[in-house]
Amino acid sequence: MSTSMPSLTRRRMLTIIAATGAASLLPWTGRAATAYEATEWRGYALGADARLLLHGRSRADAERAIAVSMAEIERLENEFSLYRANSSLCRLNRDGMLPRPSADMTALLRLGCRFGDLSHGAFDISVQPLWQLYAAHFALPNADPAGPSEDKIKETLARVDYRRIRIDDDAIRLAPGMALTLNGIAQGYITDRVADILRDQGWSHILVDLGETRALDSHPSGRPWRIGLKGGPSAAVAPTLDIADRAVATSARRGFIFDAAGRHCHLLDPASGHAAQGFASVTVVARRAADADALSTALSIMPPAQAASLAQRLKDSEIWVGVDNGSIAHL
Amino acid sequence: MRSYLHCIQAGRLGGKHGGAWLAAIWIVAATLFLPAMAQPPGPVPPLQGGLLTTIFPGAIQASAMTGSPPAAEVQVEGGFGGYIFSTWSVIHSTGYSGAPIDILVGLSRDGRITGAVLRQHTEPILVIGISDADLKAFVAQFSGLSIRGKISRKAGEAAGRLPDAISGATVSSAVIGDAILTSARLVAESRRLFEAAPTVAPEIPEVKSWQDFIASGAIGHLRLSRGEVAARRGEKLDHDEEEDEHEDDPFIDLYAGVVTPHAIGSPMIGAQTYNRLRAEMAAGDQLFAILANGLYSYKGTRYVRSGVFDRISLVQGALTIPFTRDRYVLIENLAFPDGDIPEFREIGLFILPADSGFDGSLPWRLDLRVDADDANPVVFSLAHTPQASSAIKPAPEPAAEPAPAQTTPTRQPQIPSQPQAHTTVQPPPPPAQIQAEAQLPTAISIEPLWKRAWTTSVPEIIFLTLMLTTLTGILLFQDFIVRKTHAYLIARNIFLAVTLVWLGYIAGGQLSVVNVLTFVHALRQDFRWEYFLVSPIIFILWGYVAVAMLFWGRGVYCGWLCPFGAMQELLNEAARRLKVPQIRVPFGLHERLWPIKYVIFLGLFAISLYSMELAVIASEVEPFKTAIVLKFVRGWPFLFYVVAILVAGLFIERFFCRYFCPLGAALAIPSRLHMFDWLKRRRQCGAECSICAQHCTVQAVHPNGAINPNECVQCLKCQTLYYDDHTCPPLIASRKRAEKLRASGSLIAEKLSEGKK
Repeated sequence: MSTSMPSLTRRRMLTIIAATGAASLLPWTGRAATAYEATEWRGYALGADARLLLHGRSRADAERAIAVSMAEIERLENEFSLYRANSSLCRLNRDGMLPRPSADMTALLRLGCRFGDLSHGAFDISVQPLWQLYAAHFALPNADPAGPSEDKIKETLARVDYRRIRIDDDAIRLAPGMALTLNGIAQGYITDRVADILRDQGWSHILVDLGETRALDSHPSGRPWRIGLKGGPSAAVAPTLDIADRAVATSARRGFIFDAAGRHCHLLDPASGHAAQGFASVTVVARRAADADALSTALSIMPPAQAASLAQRLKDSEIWVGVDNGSIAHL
Repeated sequence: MRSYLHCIQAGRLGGKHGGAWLAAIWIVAATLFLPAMAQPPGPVPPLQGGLLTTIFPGAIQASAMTGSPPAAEVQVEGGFGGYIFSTWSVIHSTGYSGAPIDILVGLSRDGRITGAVLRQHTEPILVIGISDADLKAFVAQFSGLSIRGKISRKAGEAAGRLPDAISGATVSSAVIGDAILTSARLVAESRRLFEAAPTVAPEIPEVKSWQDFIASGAIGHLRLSRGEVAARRGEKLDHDEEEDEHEDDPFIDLYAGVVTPHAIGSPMIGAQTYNRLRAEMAAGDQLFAILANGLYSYKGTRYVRSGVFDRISLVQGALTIPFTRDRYVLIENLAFPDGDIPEFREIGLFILPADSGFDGSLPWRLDLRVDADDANPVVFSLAHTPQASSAIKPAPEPAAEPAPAQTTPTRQPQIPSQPQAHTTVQPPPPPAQIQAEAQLPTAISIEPLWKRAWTTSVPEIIFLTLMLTTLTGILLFQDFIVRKTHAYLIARNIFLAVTLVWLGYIAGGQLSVVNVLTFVHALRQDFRWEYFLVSPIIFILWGYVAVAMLFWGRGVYCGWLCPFGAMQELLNEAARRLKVPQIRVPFGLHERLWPIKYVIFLGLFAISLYSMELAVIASEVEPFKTAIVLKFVRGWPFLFYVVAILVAGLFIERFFCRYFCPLGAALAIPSRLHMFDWLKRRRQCGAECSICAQHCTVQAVHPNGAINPNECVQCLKCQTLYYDDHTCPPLIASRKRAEKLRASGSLIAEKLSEGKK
């Protein structure tokens, strides 16, 4: 259960991801050179560094937009966070049932299941019991570096299958022993919601970066937004991506690691019950951040060959993968 | 006398011309005062003495009524005790007839109704059923009711339950209950009696039209074109030329906002519906309206099964408020009194419970999901900042406070926190309850009162239709039917018995002159079919009578469908069988007594122009209420009056109908327009024979043989005689002639006799 988890907070986990492998923005330097009024807000949201770049309207408008964004993040964290004991997700995991789920919850669960189908089960929002098994195992002082026993893994995997989640408008029901995690997708969803709300309030040419990055339109100067990719174990700056009206998400094996030896990363493969052995990192450029977020996770877990074949089928997305030697390739 | 005779003949020969001027007078009289003023209740009398302590037991004194909405502050021992207000002053309460109704209500500071006194009403339906005392007693029963919580209309729920409606006056009861509760809630809100009460912007100007509604600052608007939706979906519309034209078509044109305040909600959905809803809502509940046009339905269909509207949700700060079917009210039409009202494909009202945490004065956002069935819906949002209240309240503090722009990270990391009071929208009900709610067949029913009345009285409507069809058949085929004299008279008595027992006592179908007065009154003030549709039986009867009156005259009602008339005729029939001597009023006197009923009717009409209340009292001249509606359960003066009339009727058939019935008079006047004169006469009638005149139920046959259509009750007895070759002298004569000739075996004579027939 989420409350009995080891002292791993999401903040720490995501901070590590952000520090070691995630896409990050190039320093944004256009402000001094151009005439538009710009507001940059940096803060902390979803347990990670967050940034909003707004343009073209008054400061008061921008402050209001930031307030609206923060309220939306707060609201959705109360839905999806595993780290708030009373979030809807925690209540669902605790009770096995969530009556009167919000539309956001049903939508995101359905989306999660769709990516499960797309990735042939590699992306599974019900992988939480396995994650808990690993977390509990490595929280012990003399943890076996080989990881939990095969028996325990096998027993746990019996409770992992997103297809056994019953999603109805009036209630969500889990099979006994199941638990869900939305960590592979919620951040992207929240990023989309914030971007859409700002768009509906008349904002354009803005960048929302809440761990996953979503650009509305192009950069206000007219050029695309430029995103620097970091990949692999080295911190060397890899190629940059030019995006407009797109979202970017990166998933890296080293984003969080259970053990000191680095053998067990957080990307657990529900097929084997072990840490994924695929690409070292996957960056997805997609129309929406939720898609990018889920796809980057799914493609990291899938064996490279399968991942490559899925990537061929995704028409609306661009995929960059980092391999263990630190190089980054377009898939 | 002479002129009257002239009239009769004119009526007989060409009723249309003779009756035209009378009818014209009637119509002119009815419509002349069309824009006449309503009679609003006068100023509230000083609140002191018995009146004060009836409304507010324990009150020492009350201030004048001040503020908005106006209310008097009441002092009790120990200081401020509560308020007294008038429902007319607070919501301009109107009764079933649309005329003002005023109730003085006391409201204690803890939200209990301390007492209620009916000050003025013009409920016409009361005449047909209920005494003033019954109504006053009903109003008094509201004392003790708390308006803090939800109030249930369902029987069997002890807490917060409305008094039982007065049987026979359910509409008036409902309207009165709604008036009391809605005004009480509005007074409580404006005085912030409950902490949970929403912020109410004082003095919101009354919304009169759609334009006012939009300008009120309460309503947000979102219009999405097909092109915009396609773009957000990441699709391109097919660029056929045809498709291009549709790119700007509205995908959805959405208006939404809080319509809780009386000044906005009441004109939007109509006072009756608004009062009904507000009466049921708990303190602090909000009414949220969503109106839409376009291709896309914000309601969808899944809510019908799941109980949750999956395409919309309301967001305020970090709060998510789902829309659920059990709090959904379907509204069919907007009711703005002025201007053009746009038509909407979907209008829905949602009651947002006080414990949802929603604050109508703060900015909110309506999320609209497109492709809600799809896994990754596109979400649009209609964000709105209420303007009327933003001037009053400081700028909203969102749940997460904004960091100043252009700063480096200053926000504290979000530590997984205690459950926050505001983050849980609604404590989730236990599963069992959800199941139960999913079983709910419909949302709160706000269908018009009259629709409910019609759907619940289908059997009565069917039976009445059968009755009227039978009667129409009798009238259409009267020439054949009356020839079977004996069978016809039995059938007629059976029909009268059904009229008396079923129509009168079971179905409550006694028309009254008060109906006529109310109709005219409504024409002058605020005519609405709803007022008359509320009672299906009365409505159908009046519809039938109106048509039958134009065809055959007023007798169709008086002679066949009036329960009191039937009672008189059946009693007289019994009296005759018991050999009670019948008095035959000399025609000269009889004719001079006729006008009495016209005078009574005109008097009532005149009184009703001055005061409907007074006219309603004066209409007690009609014994219908005592004898039929109240089934003789009434004070002895009324009983004495009715018994006197009925006893007179034993000696003089249909005594009341002949001389006193104001309803008969009211029907007789327009009956002059009737089209058919099917009652057959012979040239010998009056001159040689007056048997019909002697047998006529109401002595409507003039000594000269003419039938006065103003008096005739269409009993068709004269027609049975007309065809009876053992009673009608001309027929007897020809029959005898024929028999004589037949006896002599003359073939020619037989032919001759047939020719006569």
